[in-house]
Amino acid sequence: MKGVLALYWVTLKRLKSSSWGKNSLFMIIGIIIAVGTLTLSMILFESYEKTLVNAFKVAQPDILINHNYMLTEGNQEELESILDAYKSEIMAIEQKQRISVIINRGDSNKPAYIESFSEDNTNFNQLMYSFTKQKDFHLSDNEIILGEYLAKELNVQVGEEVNVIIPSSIRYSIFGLVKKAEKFLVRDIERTGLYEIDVYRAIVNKSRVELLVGDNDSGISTYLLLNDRSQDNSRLVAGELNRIFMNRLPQVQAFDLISKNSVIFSALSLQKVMIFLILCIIVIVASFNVISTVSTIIIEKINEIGILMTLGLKRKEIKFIYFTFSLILAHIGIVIGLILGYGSAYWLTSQDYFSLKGDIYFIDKILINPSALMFLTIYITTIFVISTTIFLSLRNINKLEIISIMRQ
Amino acid sequence: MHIIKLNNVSKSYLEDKKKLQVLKSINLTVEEGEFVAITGTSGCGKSTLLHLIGLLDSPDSGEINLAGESCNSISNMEIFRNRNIGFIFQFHYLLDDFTALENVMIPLLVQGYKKAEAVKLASEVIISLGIGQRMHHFPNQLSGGEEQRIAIARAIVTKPKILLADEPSGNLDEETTQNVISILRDLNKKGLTIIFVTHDLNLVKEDDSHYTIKEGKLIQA
Repeated sequence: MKGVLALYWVTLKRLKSSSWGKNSLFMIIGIIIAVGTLTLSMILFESYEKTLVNAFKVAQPDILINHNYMLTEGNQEELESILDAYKSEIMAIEQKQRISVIINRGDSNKPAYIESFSEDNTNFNQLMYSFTKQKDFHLSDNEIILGEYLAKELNVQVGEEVNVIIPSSIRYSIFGLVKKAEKFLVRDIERTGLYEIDVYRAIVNKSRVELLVGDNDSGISTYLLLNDRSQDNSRLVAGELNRIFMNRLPQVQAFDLISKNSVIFSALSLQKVMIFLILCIIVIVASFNVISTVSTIIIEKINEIGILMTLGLKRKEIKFIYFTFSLILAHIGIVIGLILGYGSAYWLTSQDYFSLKGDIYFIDKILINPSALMFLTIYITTIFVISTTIFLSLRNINKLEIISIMRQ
Repeated sequence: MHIIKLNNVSKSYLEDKKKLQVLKSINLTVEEGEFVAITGTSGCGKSTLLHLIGLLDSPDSGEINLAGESCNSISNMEIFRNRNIGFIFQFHYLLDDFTALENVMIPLLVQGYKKAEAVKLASEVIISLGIGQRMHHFPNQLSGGEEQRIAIARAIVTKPKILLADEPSGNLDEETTQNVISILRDLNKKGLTIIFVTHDLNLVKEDDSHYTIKEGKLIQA
């Protein structure tokens, strides 16, 4: 039987002209479409999820310690001593102040927030530099860095001026509202990949922020970057810090920002599973095509089956040969579908004609990063569904009577 | 030595829920190297008898002995058939996706021959039948006579003890028919036992063992 199977193997070389090739063309096309669609959708979805998680992780500190106002000297020392115990875990600590502002240029006014930047903290700054075009900067007091979308909406370029208005500084006078506007030179434009940051954040030198807000010490938080930037580790460290804060600094709370957005991520994971299950229906529909093709092949090759039986092959051996051969043909469709799905996903994410809406999807660009597990899952699922349908279709061979075949 | 022995073999079929007795208590003994011609009208049961001898079907009653073995005691019918019986049909039933050579190789590959060995043996048989130059052609590139000769090559390549030919010339012109019959007679001269079913009495020679089937009975003609 192995020899006969090997002989069938040679017909693959002339598949185009063989009856297998002609009959299975639509089956292969169906599988290509089904697997291609499934692969494309899953790659886009998985890459979206990964890009989003990565954007959240990269654009934000691992842990945000929220205290809203400047801590008293005693509490500040207490916080430092608590964090000191985690020295080996922490790569960088910085207290940043965030203030709500309106940025104006010409007729455009855009709500934004200013985040303070300290040149002393190298590790934090490395992260900041990675988002900018110049990858390195020294911010003087009159310079500002704007998020990519913020700059776009203000129609401002590097080297141009913008006005920053602090709403809390607006005063009423007998002449109307008096706004205190500060001029800034745009030093650079940053792109973190996270729309929410790129559309609202502006970065200003820490000393200048202090001048801007005066006595107002609201919006101060402590940002932590960890050595191990994994989600599990930041959740673990934040949990431990919160347990300590509960006893020693009850007004302070630590958040790991990935967990803060965990609802989005778990919704995405659930959605991914659901999309996979729904799209598997396409494979099941394609498998109906497989049933029809294999059944047609059996009908067309009824004499071949009969003659193979007279030549000494058992039904199960013929079924095995036909199963193997059909699966090889289906395999061609699966492999092409996987490649085509990947290629389409790559093209879709690298073209500039249309992109994701950042305000809806948080990010506007997906970086293709499919996992081997995802390909394996699609491959195994498809092989399983198609093998089952081929197997079920080939059961028709059991009903064939050699005499009836030879009398035809 | 008896190579085929049928004892009181009967066979019936159900047709429209009615039992149709095709063969009634058939007794037949065939010696090794005999050329047996079975004639009869269409639907008289010639092919049914051939299928029973070829183990493609089983009798309702009676016993069939082939090459000294009772068919009831054969454990692996397919292997026995592959090693001992060759078939030629009215329609050649060559496999369209394979070349003539590959078609002839199939029975050898079923027996477990290595590919190279199967190629050698199949080529030899095809050449011996005078169509060596056509062995790499596909069935649809061959004439009816060539196709039937390839079918003969496929039937004899495993050197079976019995060759069963079911109207092998039924679909051929007169010249090609004579050609195919002469090949069968040559094979018979070399010692191959042949059972030849036909409705054409002109193909039967006087020294053949000639039987005819009438009303389900096998009668010496």
